[in-house]
Amino acid sequence: MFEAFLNLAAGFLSAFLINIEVGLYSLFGGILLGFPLTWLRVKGGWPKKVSEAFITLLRAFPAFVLMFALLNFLSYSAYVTQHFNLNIPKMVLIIALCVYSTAVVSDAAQDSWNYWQRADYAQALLIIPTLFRIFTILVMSSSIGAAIGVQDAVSFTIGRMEEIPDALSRIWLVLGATIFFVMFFSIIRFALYQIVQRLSSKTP
Amino acid sequence: MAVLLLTTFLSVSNASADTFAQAAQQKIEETRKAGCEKPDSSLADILCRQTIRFGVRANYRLFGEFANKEFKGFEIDLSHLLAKRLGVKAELFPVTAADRIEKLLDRQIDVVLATMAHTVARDAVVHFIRPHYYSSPTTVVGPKGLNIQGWEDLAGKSVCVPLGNFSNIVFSQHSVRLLIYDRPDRMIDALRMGACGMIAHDRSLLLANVFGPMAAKDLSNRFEEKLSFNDVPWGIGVRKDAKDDLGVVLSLIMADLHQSGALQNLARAHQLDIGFLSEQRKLLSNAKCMDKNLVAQECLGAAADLSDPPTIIAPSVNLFENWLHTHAGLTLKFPMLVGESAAKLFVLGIFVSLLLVAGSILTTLVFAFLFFKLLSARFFIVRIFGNIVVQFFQNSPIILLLVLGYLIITFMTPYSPILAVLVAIVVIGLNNGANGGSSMKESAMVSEKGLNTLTIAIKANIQLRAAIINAAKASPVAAFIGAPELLAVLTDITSFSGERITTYVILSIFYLALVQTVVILSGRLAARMSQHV
Repeated sequence: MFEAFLNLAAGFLSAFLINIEVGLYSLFGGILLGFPLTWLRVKGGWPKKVSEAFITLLRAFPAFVLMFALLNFLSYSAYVTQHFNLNIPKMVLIIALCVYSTAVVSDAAQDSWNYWQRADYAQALLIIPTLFRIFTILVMSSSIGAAIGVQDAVSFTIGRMEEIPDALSRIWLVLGATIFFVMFFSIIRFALYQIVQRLSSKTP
Repeated sequence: MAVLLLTTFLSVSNASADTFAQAAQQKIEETRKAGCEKPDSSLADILCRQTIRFGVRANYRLFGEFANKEFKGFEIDLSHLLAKRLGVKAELFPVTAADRIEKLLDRQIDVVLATMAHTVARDAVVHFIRPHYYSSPTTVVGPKGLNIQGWEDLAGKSVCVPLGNFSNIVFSQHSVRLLIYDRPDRMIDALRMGACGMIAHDRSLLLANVFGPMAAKDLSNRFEEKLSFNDVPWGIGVRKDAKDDLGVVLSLIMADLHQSGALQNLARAHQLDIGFLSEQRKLLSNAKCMDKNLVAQECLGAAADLSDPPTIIAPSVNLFENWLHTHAGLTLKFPMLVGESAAKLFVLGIFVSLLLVAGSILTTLVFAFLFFKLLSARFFIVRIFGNIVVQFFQNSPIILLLVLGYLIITFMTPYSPILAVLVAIVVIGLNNGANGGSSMKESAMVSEKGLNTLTIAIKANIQLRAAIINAAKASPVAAFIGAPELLAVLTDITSFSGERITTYVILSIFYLALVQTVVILSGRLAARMSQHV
């Protein structure tokens, strides 16, 4: 019994690494696109208008819908499937989350830039915990990948759940997995709160 | 002498044959006698060329496979058998489910013998040889421990299906959530790796690859047949203009192969299920099946009618599609407007999506106020409880919350799509309402004391607005537990129509417009309410 629980926990944690990996790649993609967009936004004129319109579009796109649309366009593209040995569902999930991360990274970078211009360096440095907060949101959002077959912690939980015939045991299993996420993100939120408090206290 | 020869020829050609084999041979001889100077039919062309070109599958286990520079399988052996009966050599060309009809119509091949189901829709473009040579239902395969007795057990569950298979509509009608795969090998890999819990395809393919004695042990030990439906006959296809020559001869040869048991033997040699072939052999052994040197109509199976009846606007939509193709060079299809079932699903999807967005926004606001009240309660114990609840809903992945909600509800009452929509509305409201309530509490902490709840909500309008926009963006996630919203129904329509570009463009535009509407309306409302503070 205890061994079965350990195996389950090990499998879950191993699958949770996929969520972390997807979160990291999505944040990286968001930084790659978000910072140049911020540069265009602070430049003013027509580059600002174009980049703001682009970011508005990114903000309005539901990641779940984009994920399905991309999955259908990419996974049936003969070129993509023949020329790249890729895990298409994972790649699609990362791109879909990048759409969200690009918009929020750009917003955070613009705020940071404004503070920097006003020589409020402590406030400007708040972009670091903000990026970390975006990362945690991305890890949490990566659970939507279970809908297209990404083998993450949520997918692992649902897979094990379907093997259990008893409805009550299923509820306990999913509740257990949810509590793991709640604990994980609560600790991170608390840590972030402490960092933000310290940085804010340095503001003149 | 000439008169004698002519009389002999006429007596041969008009003679009533006793068997299908004789009748076929008579027709072949008649065509041969016409000579090769100007072959005037497909059959004459084949006989004069001394070769017949078959389009066959190259990746369909036991039926048509290409390995070690050679084709093998039941259909491959059948191709050689047919060529032998015609007295010519068989040339084999690989085709796929997507290009087999196109290659036939382009005259790149003479015959399609490639796991092609005989349907009423295909009858319009291809002539199918009857009697059919095989029949296979659609089968659902799943883990051995999973209890699936019928359609009611499949409702709300995920099944991976092949793209463009019309049987998929049956899944949508029973509220099964579909994941689409374009190639059977990828779908089987996904089953092996756990990305698909259950898969559905032609029984023949799944028998050979997943749960039959010939399947890989790692799969056959874990998976079994759960459900089969829609038995569809498979037919050999020729061009319409070859119907009266090559079509007739192949029909007679097929009837003979059934009657003699040659097809059964061939199927046995490839370890295929012979149920359908045994029935056909019994049927065609009846003397009444030979009618004026042809196979009698009553001994021939009908095409499967799997087509979606057209909508009233279908002709206009088709005209528009053609106009786009001719004038703009765009090949776009609108299956959600052409077929009746698809159109009904489409309208339902739009309605449910709008309901989900409106419901999620409403529950987000209601729960935000409720959580704010809990967090601001006079009693410490209630505030602690409020904090735990808010932390729980703020930090839970939405998918897990949906599954949890779905499990709790289906523990008490049977699953239905309406229930899935209600669960999704409540769960999305709880998830985003927790953020809204928490923001209101933070706003109350930095505001002067004694403000009423509405004023605090207006002060926290930016965060509340973000919560309702997020609720609108999260609404398509309801598809995960089987709510028939637009994403789910368009996925279903894609699964049986095969069209995906227009479908997903429409879906993206719909949700972009919907979210943007929520952004604009909530912005106006927030601005108007701020003026009153």
